[in-house]
Amino acid sequence: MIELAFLVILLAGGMAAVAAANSLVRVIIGTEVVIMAGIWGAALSHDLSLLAVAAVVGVAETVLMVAAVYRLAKEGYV
Amino acid sequence: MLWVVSVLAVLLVLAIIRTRDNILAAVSLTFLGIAVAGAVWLLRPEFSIAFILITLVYVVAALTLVIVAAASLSEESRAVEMRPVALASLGALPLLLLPGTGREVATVHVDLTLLPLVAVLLLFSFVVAAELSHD
Repeated sequence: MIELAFLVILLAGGMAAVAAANSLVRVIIGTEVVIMAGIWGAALSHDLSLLAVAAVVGVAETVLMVAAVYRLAKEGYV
Repeated sequence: MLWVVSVLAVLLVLAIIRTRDNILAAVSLTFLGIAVAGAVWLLRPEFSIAFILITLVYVVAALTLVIVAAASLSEESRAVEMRPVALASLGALPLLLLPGTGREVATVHVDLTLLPLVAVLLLFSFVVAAELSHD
């Protein structure tokens, strides 16, 4: 039960951070918390392959998000 | 022991929400990554801890630096409004109540055919990121 509670904490906490954000950097930080919820959800499946894929996908799309916000910041949108 | 990590996660999320400083929020995010890695270790001690922990901590810590760099690049701030999107995403939470299979036997081997696929995915995302942030 506590495993599910931890998942809900990460999901709701990340979304609360996104809802309270006033800049794109905060939106990314809140989304990172939700990515951790995804990694934790993969860990709950007790399958190491799924956990590895979740971690790597988290890496890949974090790289893309940060690159996008870097580009936006260079053009003055952040 | 897992509830200690849960309490820690609540505190860190509150710190992220309450602080007005982007750098402090990014540091809190790093500690949250370490907390999640510890939670995975508590859930399944036989998982290869090093892989998970190093991935989480390295990624979050390294990208923290990039986020900070991007945050300090421009002082002109434009407010974003994401509240409806976030609340709509929270509407999916009841899906967690669906019954799962409840498998208890852990699979502790990584499928080796994943390695080339994962490598290609990472290479692709790094190339796209380099194209995006270039010039």
